[in-house]
Amino acid sequence: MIQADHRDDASVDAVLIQQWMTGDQRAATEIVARHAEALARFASRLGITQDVDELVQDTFIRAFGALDRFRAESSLRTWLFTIERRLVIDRRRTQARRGTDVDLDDAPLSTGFDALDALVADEASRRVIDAIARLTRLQRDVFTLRVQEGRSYKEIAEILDTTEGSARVHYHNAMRAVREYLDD
Amino acid sequence: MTECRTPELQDLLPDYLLEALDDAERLRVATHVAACDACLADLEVLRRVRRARPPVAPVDVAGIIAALPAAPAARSARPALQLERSAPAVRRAPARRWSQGPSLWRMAAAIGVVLTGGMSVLVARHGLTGGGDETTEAAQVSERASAPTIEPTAVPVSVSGNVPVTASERSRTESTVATAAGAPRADVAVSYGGSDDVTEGELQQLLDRLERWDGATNAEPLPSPSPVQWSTRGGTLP
Repeated sequence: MIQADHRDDASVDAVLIQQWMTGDQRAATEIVARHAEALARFASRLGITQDVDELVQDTFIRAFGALDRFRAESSLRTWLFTIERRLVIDRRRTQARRGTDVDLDDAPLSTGFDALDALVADEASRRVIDAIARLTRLQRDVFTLRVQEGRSYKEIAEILDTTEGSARVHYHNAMRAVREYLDD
Repeated sequence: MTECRTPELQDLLPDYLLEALDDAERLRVATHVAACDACLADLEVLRRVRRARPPVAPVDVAGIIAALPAAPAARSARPALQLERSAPAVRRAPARRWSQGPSLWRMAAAIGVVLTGGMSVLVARHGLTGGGDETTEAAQVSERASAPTIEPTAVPVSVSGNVPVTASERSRTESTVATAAGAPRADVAVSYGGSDDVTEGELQQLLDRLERWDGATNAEPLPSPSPVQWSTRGGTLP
């Protein structure tokens, strides 16, 4: 059903991982180049506006530290997203303890997307961003992973530590909310 | 707007948009979208969302690469000296302890305990019944031959009244017999008798005592920390 690109991506990643395991450092460069931008984008989806570079780097460091135990049950990118999201959760918890950020719940917020306003030129895109910003955190994460990153429900469930059914419900609720906002 | 009646196809719209479907699925979804207003509207929303994909600042790939750990093959190619230095840490790991040196010590200790206990019982039984290996029998024959005046019948008081059990008690009995015979203690030859020398009741009494003695021996706690106790705890090495 799901074809070409995803499977090819997975096989390319598998080859690169194997090359890196045998000591080819250029394979690591290739892996980072393939996924760094998606991780940076996902970081902004998660509401991270500062130190994105640092977050992406930490994600890769943690991933490469455990890459020999990567079982390829999911795609490498899904695995990287999962690691990055957990790092974000850890960071938020740390900030919450310090009292600098307490955004751990599933409430709507516009962090991250507000920060992108200046980068968005046209009104249509601005409305889309507004619509997404009104979603709950989980709805937004599911929606962007599904629509903008092309992840399957299974992968989304893994990344967000939820179930496929829950991911599907959140996607359809988000879709309805965004459509209604844009239709207004 | 009416709802889509084939949600499984509606679910595939993002994949359709990303051109991630195979030919058959793509055709199926395209046909469905052409006839479904809800999915057509969804597809338009998805296109707008995709267009609004926020740009991201370029990531410093070189900086990330520089911070990455070395590949496993490179790590395993470290000098032997470094591996030797890391060896103590490995030995400290509990999982390794179970499969290395200490387990041999534990096995040896366990075998030693079993052998010691078994030998104690054997020695005690042989001493009391006169049965056993050839050496013991030969010694007893020699004892009988060299001291004919001290026959088993001369010892019934000792056997029936106070059965010698421990080495110290047996030694005491020997001393008593020797004194009664008026012979030097070092040359005393004593037969400890066989099962024919005692009555049924005496034999039963003797077995009862032996049974109690065995129990007392087995209940004796091992010295702490004994190798066996240490091994079952699985704790850290001293």
